[in-house]
Amino acid sequence: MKKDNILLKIDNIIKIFKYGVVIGKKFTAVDSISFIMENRPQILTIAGESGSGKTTLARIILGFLQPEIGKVIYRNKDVYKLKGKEKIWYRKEVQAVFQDPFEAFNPMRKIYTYLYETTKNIVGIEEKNDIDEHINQTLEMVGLSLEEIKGKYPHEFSGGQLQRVAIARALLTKPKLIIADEPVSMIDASLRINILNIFKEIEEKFSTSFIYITHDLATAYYISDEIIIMYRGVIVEKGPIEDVMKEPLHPYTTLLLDSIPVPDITYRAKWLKASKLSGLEIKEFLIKGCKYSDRCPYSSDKCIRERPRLIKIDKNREVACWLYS
Amino acid sequence: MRKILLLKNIYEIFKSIYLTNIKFRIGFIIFIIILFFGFIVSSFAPVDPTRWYTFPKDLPPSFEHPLGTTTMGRSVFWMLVESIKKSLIIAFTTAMIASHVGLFLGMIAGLKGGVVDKVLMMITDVFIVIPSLPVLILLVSLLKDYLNLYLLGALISIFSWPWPSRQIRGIVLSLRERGFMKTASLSGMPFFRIILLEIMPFVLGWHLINFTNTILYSISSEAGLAILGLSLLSDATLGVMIYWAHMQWYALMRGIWWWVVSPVVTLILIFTSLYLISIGLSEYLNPRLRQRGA
Amino acid sequence: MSEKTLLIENLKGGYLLGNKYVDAVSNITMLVKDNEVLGIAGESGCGKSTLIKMIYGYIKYPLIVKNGKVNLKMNNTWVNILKLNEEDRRKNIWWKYISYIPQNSLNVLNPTSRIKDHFAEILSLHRGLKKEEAYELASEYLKEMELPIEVLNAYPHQLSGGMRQRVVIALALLLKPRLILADEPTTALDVIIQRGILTLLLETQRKLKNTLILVTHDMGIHAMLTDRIAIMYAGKIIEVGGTKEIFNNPLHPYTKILIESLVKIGEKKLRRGIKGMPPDLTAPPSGCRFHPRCPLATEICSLKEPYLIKASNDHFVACHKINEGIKL
Repeated sequence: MKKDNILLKIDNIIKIFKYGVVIGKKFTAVDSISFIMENRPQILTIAGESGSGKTTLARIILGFLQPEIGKVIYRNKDVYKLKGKEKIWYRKEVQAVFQDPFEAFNPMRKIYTYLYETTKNIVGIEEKNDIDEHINQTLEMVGLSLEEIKGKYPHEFSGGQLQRVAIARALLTKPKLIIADEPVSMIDASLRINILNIFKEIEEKFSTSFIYITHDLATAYYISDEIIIMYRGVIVEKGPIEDVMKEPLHPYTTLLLDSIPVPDITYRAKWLKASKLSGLEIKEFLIKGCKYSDRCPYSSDKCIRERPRLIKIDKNREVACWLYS
Repeated sequence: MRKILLLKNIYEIFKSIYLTNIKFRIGFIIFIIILFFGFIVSSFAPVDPTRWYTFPKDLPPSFEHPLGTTTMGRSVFWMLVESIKKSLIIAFTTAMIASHVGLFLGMIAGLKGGVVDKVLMMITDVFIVIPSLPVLILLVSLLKDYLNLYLLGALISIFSWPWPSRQIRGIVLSLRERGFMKTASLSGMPFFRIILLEIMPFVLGWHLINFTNTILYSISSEAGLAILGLSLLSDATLGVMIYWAHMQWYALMRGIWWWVVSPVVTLILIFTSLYLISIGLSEYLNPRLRQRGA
Repeated sequence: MSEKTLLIENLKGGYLLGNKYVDAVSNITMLVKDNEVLGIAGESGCGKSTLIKMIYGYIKYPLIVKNGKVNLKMNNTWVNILKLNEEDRRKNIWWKYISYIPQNSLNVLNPTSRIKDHFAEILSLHRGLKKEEAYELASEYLKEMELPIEVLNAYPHQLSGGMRQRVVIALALLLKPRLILADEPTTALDVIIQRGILTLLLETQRKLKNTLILVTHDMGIHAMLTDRIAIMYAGKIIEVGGTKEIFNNPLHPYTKILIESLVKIGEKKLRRGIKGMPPDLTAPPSGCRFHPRCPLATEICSLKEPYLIKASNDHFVACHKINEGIKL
């Protein structure tokens, strides 16, 4: 693949955290993650439950957390080797939206100030009038206006509105890539589709790519093309979302799919057959073999002893599971 | 323009605390009254209150001498208001030095982390562990000849900066994990702007509390030193008043109770008012820190 | 016929905001039976959380109760929760007869107490158990709830969000209460944990044969768990009925929109979601509060408030358009 065709390359990222108060112990939150995003508009989903390492990975991609091993290469540049003006360039190209809009903004600051800062510092507009014009135009893309938000503090908005403002803030720099970490998890189920439609629109109109991080495969299917499924820091399945959803390979993928509550009573009996919940997360992280072996209905001795590697199935599907080798 | 808005903001916040928190309100009123006496009333003294034998000695409280006179022939009332002023000057000096040093070091430790944090915290812990009184006694004794209000305030600050430093560091550490810090970074805000606009609003409230607490600590330290004879004995501070009254002239035993009771009651009032202000502020701050959507 | 366990009559309450009043619970009358799972559905801001707080008796300023009764059947007599004082509620009702599971576990758990001490506190207050006995009971109980034993010695912040919520549920069920109130207990938890927690909650309800009131905006969850659903909009109950009936035959336009607005699995085609926003409850719309957003609204909808009318056995709806149809 030619170098110009790659937007983002995640190259063997390993991130280790310490835990334990007295005795310093370590666990690997992100374990040898590699994938490539081509330079064309697309929405990639990274799916997993809490503690899967997906949020850690997001922080690493955004430059907030340096991995022990591995590189984040954005358009041929190593993100953790950027200097000076290049850092601002990276912030222009790559933006983010987070799960809790009320946490994303300082309750003591008017939200306008964040829009102002982004426009001034990264987009580089100097004149106040021009800044306001740019902000207003961007807000209109999410169905709001400068009039509506001027002078207001975060608590004066509903969750849905505030999340739209957060999305608008990310759009101000006309980024090529937006990392959206559980952007609709805290929004009413009935309002999620509106926010997701905004993402779809942004992808179409501005050729912006998304990394959509979630645990909800229904919304993932609605907006994305490719999916990577993570469990305790490891990729367990990868491929086009159409194929992965219709024919899940890894038992964990099946569990994620089955756990989605459906507004259809006939599904109830199946849904109520819940599987084993995880014990202490840290224990699963420390399993030498397959991290899912403790909860997996198909686990064998081999699974507990040895870690399965990602192997290719078909043209663009990969899975890490001893059932397939 | 910005400065006017800032002052307006501060006034709004003050009004909000004053109206909603009764402890703050009471403490504030008492303290303002004390300040009034200490800094305004004291300037109307008819004579230098520290001069001996200006008045007949050992007079009980009367209309002419509202709090009586001392055995050294000084008016208790005018001594008292002058002492309030001097004690508070010492205390403000301590608070200015200690709370700001603590603020500065605490913020650096919290923001930088790593080795810098560990080193700073080690130094802080050393100062917390060293017994302050013996060292202060030593220092004040050595520097007796050079002692003035400001030097004394500065000496007391040597042991009052560690607590604010730890406290501010704690606040900064918890703030670093908040989501809006990421948003600030994604908005291209430079480091110092982030400190000013994201961290300072949270820190300032606690800084004010630390300042208030340091005043309290300093006044009691000076009183303690004075009673041991280690303060500005020729001057007028609350501690010195008690020293002369109780330690030298046994005022209580001799029935000259007004001489001892006045500074002691004043000290109690200062402590109480500062404590109430401090508690009121921290009550106001706590729900704010956890404030989220409506 | 199931026994009645909770009777809410003409309940009216809300929040004082300066000189304005937020009409969050507007004249609600509801009957809840023993041994059932009742779901309360609706968007954020519709008043469902406020209703739960009022049923629990957690009335803290600026929340006020203007009118109405919350009658709980205790020992064969009806007790109005609202008439009791806070001491009484704390000692005799909370945890024992009614348990409350809020959205945020940190609102229940004390950050400075270990988990085992949370259990000890409840068990000593209500069962007179000593610390050691309480710890023993707690560890057995945790095993039942499939919670790892290490949890007992941990502090709340050392546990993940999902684990904390499971602990809160364990605490809520400890004294086997008659009524469990769960307010969005799994929002912000991932689907797998959510399924585990809700399944556990249902299993316990089936075992104890008590009443579970589950509040959530997610109609998918209602379909998976509840026996009956009450749909709330802007402080009013606009439809209530058996879950199967509501999903097979949703009558109120809002209910239909709520069900259809979910992103269903396997859906890829772009479509529009719910329009507009819930009304400002300090100045709610006249007549039917839904009329500004309703695709079927006519003149009468803005003039007269529709009341709940029986559409079929155990299916009630408050809508002029539907009521016309029923009368015919």
